[in-house]
Amino acid sequence: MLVFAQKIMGALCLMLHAWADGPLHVGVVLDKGGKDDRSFNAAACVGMLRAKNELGADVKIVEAIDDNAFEHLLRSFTQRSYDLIISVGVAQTSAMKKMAQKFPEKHFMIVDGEIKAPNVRSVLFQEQEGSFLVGAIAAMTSQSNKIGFLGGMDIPIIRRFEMGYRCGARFVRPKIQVLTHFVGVTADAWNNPPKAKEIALTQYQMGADVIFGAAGASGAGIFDAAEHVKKFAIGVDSNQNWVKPGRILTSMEKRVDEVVFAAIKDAQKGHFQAGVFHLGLAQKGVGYSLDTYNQALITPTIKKEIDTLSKAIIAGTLKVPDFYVGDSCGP
Amino acid sequence: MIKTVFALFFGICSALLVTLVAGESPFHIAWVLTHSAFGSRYDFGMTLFYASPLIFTGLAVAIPFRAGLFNIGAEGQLTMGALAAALVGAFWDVPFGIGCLAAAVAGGLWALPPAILRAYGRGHEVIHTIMMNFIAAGVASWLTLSFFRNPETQNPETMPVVHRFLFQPIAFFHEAPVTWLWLLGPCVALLCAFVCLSTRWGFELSVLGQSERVAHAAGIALKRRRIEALVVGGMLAGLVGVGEVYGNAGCFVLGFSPGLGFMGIAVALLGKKHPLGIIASALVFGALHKGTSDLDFETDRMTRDMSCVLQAAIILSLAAEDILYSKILRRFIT
Amino acid sequence: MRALELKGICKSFGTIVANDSVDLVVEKGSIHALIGENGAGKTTAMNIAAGLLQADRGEIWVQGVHKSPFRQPLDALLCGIGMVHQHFMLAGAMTAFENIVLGSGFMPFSKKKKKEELLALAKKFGILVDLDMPVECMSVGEQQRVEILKVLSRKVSLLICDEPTAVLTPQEVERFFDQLRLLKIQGTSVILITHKLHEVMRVADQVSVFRQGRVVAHSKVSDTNAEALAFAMLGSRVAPVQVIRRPRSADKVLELKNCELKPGAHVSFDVHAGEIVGIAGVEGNGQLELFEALMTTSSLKRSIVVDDRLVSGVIPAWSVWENFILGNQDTFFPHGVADKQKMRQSCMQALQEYGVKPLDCDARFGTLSGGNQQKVVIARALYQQPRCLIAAQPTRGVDLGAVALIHQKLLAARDAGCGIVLISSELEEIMSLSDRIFVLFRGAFVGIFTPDTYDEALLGRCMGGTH
Repeated sequence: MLVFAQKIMGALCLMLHAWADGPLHVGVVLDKGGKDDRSFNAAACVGMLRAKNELGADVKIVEAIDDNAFEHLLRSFTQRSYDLIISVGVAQTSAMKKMAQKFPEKHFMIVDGEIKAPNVRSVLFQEQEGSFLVGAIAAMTSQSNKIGFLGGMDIPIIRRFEMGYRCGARFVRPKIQVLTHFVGVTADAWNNPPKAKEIALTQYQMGADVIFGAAGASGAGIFDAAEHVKKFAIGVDSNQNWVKPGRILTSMEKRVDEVVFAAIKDAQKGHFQAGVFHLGLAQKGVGYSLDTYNQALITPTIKKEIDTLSKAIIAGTLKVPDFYVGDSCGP
Repeated sequence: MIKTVFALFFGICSALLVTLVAGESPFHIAWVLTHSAFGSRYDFGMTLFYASPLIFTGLAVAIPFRAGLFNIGAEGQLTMGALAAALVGAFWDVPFGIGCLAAAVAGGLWALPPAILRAYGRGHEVIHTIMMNFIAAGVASWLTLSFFRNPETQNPETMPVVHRFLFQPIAFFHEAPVTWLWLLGPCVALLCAFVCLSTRWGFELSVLGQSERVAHAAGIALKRRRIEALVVGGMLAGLVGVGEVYGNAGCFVLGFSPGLGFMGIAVALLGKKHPLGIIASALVFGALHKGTSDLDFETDRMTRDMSCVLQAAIILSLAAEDILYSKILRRFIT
Repeated sequence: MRALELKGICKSFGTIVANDSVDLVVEKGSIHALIGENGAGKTTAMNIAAGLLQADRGEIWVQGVHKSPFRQPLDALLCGIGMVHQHFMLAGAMTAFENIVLGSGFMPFSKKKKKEELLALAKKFGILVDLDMPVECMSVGEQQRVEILKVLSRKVSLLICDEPTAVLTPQEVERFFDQLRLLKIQGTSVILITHKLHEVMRVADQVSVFRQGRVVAHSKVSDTNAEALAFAMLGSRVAPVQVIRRPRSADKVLELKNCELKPGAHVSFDVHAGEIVGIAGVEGNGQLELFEALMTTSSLKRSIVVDDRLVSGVIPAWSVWENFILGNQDTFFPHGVADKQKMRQSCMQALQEYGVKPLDCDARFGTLSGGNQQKVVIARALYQQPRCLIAAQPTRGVDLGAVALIHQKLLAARDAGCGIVLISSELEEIMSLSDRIFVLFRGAFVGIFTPDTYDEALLGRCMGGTH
């Protein structure tokens, strides 16, 4: 009987040790829009799955049912002894702040939000820099001198994309016209391809020949529209060139997958770094994608110009206006 | 009542059976749901927290329904109510009660155009109230982002309300955002019960809901009662703002509602138009909402969308409750 | 040969015994009348025979063959028994044709043939009906013809009619009786449930009297008379209502000026306190429009006894007391809050005073018999002692004893100073109660009569527009 009990205890200890010493347990709470948005949340998932495959980490991906569930999900992760807990999206800032305070021994990471705490790693992207570049690409490609921007909702972060895009376009073609619209005013704007398609078609009809979409899963509608009228669209967050080959001029990548993977890698080695990190072109946090699908569309002239601009931004000689700090680049 | 309870049970079971298709065990799912809703003080607190606005939206649908009107506009009405509560609390130095009143009035005013159109014209209130939902979202978005945005955060929300308007969570529930404001819901429900069952106004509404001709013959002012019914519904939905702004977020957050207005329809259906039934029904749906939020966590294949499946299954079962009762339950009883 | 025989039929609804061992024999090819007070059990017994209800005990024999109890109307139809109900079972928005073929296993592609069949059938029995008109646009008489045709098209050998003449004008009644006689000649048997003794005497061959759930008397019509039948029905004599004419007061309680009922036709009249103004006329000459017009003059304190009460006066799903307070909200909701005690007390009192059976405030209103329902409606209208009362068809579908009571109450109200507008298609009633009579024809008044000039024949001619 005693031997039996000892064996049970032994097994339990092994299990606990296995949990503790074994693979890193990483949990991520996605933004509203879900894991199938093919852009923002999808990028985070890509990073997670890569960590699972290459690093052998134990990953768990959850979506929140509404704003109030964030705190609860983060708490559940901490209670189940997850080592690294990641929040994707600015909406979770206050929830994570609270949990980080409550559980100082746990490691947290938030994407797109800013939290100053010793156990939180905040990663913010300079979307405006990447958008600036794709704006320039769009302007140089456009033959009608009119391009479009279609955001999900009219919220600050999307304005940031738009401003960068507009400034970049104006920089290379001062007389260019930029049409700006938003898909909707409710959360379902992030997942409404039919409506996005309608608006994109309207923009194309108004003369735009390139549209940059920053609308999460609604982007699929923009791509459909581009295919329909045989004009161009620009993807966002992930490399979306493959979705409609030949119609996607480029994608403004936000390397969420990279930062997620990097954070997990660091944590596994025991080198978790807290702090606030702004990742722009210099840190390769944002950029435009170039691959077999759009190689032919980006002419050598365009590429040269973009490289010049890119270097200037990285060097600091060219400042891209940032909506967050109240900049502007004209009407 | 037994018909309704059985229909509820049947709906939940049907939805659980669907999980078999996903490869999950219905029993495990049922356990997750129950445990997540009631397993700890925090969980129970969250259940209560979700139930509270549902009491209001359930009433917002049920009261006009007693008069034969369909209020599908609770979503827009509660948005305007929350916005009003947030703006009053942030910019106006007035007693707390004014903030609550503002929320109710905003919601009521939002229901007024569809109410007038329905009473005087031929427009159907279903269409008009739904349209008002979209207009509300647009107006709230514009006001929040253009005039009243909180500059300290990139989250689309308004300036925070002054501190004295805020209610703190009750410690008993271990940080679930349940405050004493929660009691507002049941109190309002009781008040509605009294009004519906024991006053002339409530009686006339019921008559109107049964038959327009009979109401007319009985000397009831049809147009007035219809308008009043919808406006009261709007006011009730507006009160959601009180709990959300003063008891939770401290400001108006764009898109804070996970479809509370529409869930109110399910709540009203289950609660059978009776204000006290609404309280019980709100608790059921609050528990389901909380329960499903953990499904993502506890299972590999189920996600939060199960909440919609559950709601749909329950609504369908409720609609068919007479058939379910006569064809299935009666066989077992007799 | 017996078309139908009921042996020992028993039926109870909870504690209420509707049929207490009913024995009935109906000879083939006869017109057999069933009479009795409301609640005596005749409709219940016939509902059992037609398959709408199932008896608790007893046997049904059709054409000498014992049949197993009917579970649904279809079973009775298959045995050749069909019923035309007092409250029509027609879908208003559908045409006559659609209503007739509803539920009969009709196949859409044989529409033309079916229509021809129906028209032939209608002609055979002298029934005039427009098959393509939506039922809700038809007059009550026409709707009844659709109902009859509906039943006949199912090839019945026994036709049961429940209070068929309650909704017909004098001419239509005659036409209906002709149809019955035609049916009889063709070999169809007819059971007529009615409370109108003079009609029984006119058209029926046999009559059975129901009282308190059983058949208490049976006779050949030729062997009896109206008085004897009334006695058998009630178990006592009915005292005729004493009507004392009074001079009317000078106070006007209602005035209608130049009200357009039908295009181009206007009416004006006034009603004084303490008088009954009778509006006579064949249904369809503007009575409905007049009623609507009177209903919308809400500036007056008036009460209404409505026509088709199931449509506009009551909520059958609600209880008796809830229906009682309808229209009387002012009294029962002092300061806007319900005085439940007063409600129940007043309701109970009214039920007792008017002899409503069962004496139960909480009973579902729809379970009361037609006559009892009407009593409650009248009690409700008179409760507030209104200055003006508009009574449209107040005794339609109501049994003899109740009719007398209602007339008494109306007269009492008149004596108390109420001005009453009485719209009725029962000429007898109008003549007996009214202090003045206006005859309505095609939306205008074509004759005004005072008591000394009342003459049935003359009034009849006015109603028909031939004076």
